[in-house]
Amino acid sequence: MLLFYLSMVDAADDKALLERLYLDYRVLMKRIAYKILGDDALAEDAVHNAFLRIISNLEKFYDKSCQETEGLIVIIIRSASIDMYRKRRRELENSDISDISDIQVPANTDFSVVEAKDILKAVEALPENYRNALLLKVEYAFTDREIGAMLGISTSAASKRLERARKLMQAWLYDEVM
Amino acid sequence: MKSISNSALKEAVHIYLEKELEKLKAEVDTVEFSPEFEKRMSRIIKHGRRQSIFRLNTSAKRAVAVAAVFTVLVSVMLSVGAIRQPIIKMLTRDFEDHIEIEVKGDTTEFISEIYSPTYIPEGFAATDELINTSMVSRSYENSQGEAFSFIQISTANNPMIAIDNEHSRHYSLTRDGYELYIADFELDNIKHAYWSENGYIFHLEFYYKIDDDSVMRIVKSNAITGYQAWE
Repeated sequence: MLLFYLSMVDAADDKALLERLYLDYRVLMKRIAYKILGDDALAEDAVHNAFLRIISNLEKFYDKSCQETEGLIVIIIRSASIDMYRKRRRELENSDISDISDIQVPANTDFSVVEAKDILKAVEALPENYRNALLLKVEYAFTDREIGAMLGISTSAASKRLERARKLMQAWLYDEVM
Repeated sequence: MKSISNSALKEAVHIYLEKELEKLKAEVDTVEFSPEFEKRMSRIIKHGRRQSIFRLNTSAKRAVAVAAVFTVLVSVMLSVGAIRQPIIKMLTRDFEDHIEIEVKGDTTEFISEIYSPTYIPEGFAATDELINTSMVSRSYENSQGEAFSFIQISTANNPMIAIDNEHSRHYSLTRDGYELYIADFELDNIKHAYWSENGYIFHLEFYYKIDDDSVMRIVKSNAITGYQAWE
């Protein structure tokens, strides 16, 4: 029977990896989803959706340390839960995108001198969707296309989120630190 | 303007992730999973393929603003006892990246009549089943590694099903009083068929290439094979 199941997947390793991810992280995933959605059944649906994203991007989970895997899982389940929350509210994909056209930072501002501890605060202040894109870019070195696939959005939406994340961080740092 | 230093940003992001993970691990609470969820996950892990399907909440009530595309089913006066079967309408609504199917009408409080397809394609055998008052699920497989599942869903609390429409072809199939809503993920060799009958939603999911006639044959064989009382 085992051989039969293995024949169902593209690679036996994929199935083993998927099983391990499910068993190791489902509790953490549901806990995160429940916090965002506040509903048991919805939280399970979010975990289900997150796993579909994981299946679509399974190659990204090979050769990752435990901590890297955990970080990726957290980003994906948060993103899936937020998507579900947004869909329940019947909002369009871009409706959560902040208007950054009025963000004004003087052209001669030097952000290169800002220390990591202050940047950390700016990262914490970011809206979740932007932060998820930024984390995938900086910590995991994903391309915009890979970020889009992982978060279930288009490549251009991923690029926009990254651009906005950086601008929002600069605005926050200018206001709070500079 | 000079940008944020890459090394400082990397350090900050790394610290952020570490802090987040520590915080999440420190939280201790009981997390339980429903049998329906376990079943769903077992299925996707078994098949391990991109399924492109997501099912939204099946327990929360929703306000339904509907653009009806798909309605149906059987409002038959049964000859024996002349019992009127509950009528359910399945309603679809198009979104940018998915289609939602919701139900309206004579919803059932729980699954009292247990259904099952009485026609199973040659070579397939039942592998497992789950039966409770909100869901009946049966899986079938053959020796070539082809598989399909039959699912009966209670319509209590207005269940809603959402289906990815970016990677699939969607259409309705009407025949002999049955109307099926079909989502065909041709590239993945996955096909889903939904219909309503006697106050329940039914769902067939195939993990192999199957033509519509064969799907319809299974649908038409759907019959009550048991009864259960409220748990």
